[in-house]
Amino acid sequence: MTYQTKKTMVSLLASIAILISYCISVYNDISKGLTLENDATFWAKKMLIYIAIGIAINIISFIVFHILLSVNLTVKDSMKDSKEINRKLELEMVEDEMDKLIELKSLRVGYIIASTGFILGLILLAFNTSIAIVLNILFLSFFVGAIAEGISNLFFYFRGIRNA
Amino acid sequence: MPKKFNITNNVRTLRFFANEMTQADLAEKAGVSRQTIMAIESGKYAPTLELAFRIADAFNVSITEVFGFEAKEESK
Repeated sequence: MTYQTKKTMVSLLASIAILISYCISVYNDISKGLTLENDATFWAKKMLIYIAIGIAINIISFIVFHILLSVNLTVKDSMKDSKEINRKLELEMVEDEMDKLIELKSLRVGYIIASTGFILGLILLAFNTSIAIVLNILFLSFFVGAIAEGISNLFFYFRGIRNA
Repeated sequence: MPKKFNITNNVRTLRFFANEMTQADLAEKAGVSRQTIMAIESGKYAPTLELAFRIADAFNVSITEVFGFEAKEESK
């Protein structure tokens, strides 16, 4: 497995962890008997907190990932020279035309899912569905879109990709 | 009848004749990742014209010696 696939997996796992923790948190709120159907402020605050947590988890996981990658390279190739380690790391981390093409194609998958969720939310809002459900559909569709983007990214790396 | 086009390559053979050049060395010379060289070698990725020229340049051969083009008829 190479750097790009490992990086995608780290990002994917972080997104899944955040989504699961959000779902558990919402389930706990509902099981406590809170009536939050029309409390848009509550949901907006909760979602903003989870977006902030998501950004923090992504940054931390990438820092840990890069530390582990450097340690792995040093141990595997028994290198002691820091310049050599940095050179190897740079070679591993290079992003080329195939990576960009895969990123574009998987980004498209993510956008399709996120925009479908957005349209679904608007349709539900038009039919007087509660604001809590609409906000949750929007929030979840963005997260599911990010997860789908990661999965399609891995799929393209393993199956291969054509330019056309 | 619809035709399917395939880009073939001799990267593995050329690496062998270039003193068993590693994928990592070729990747460094062509300025791409090892994963991309692996994908090209196994036919999972057809490179752009620019990268194809850079790979040919890494072996000091013409582009037609590295890449080929074949059209095969697809049965319905």
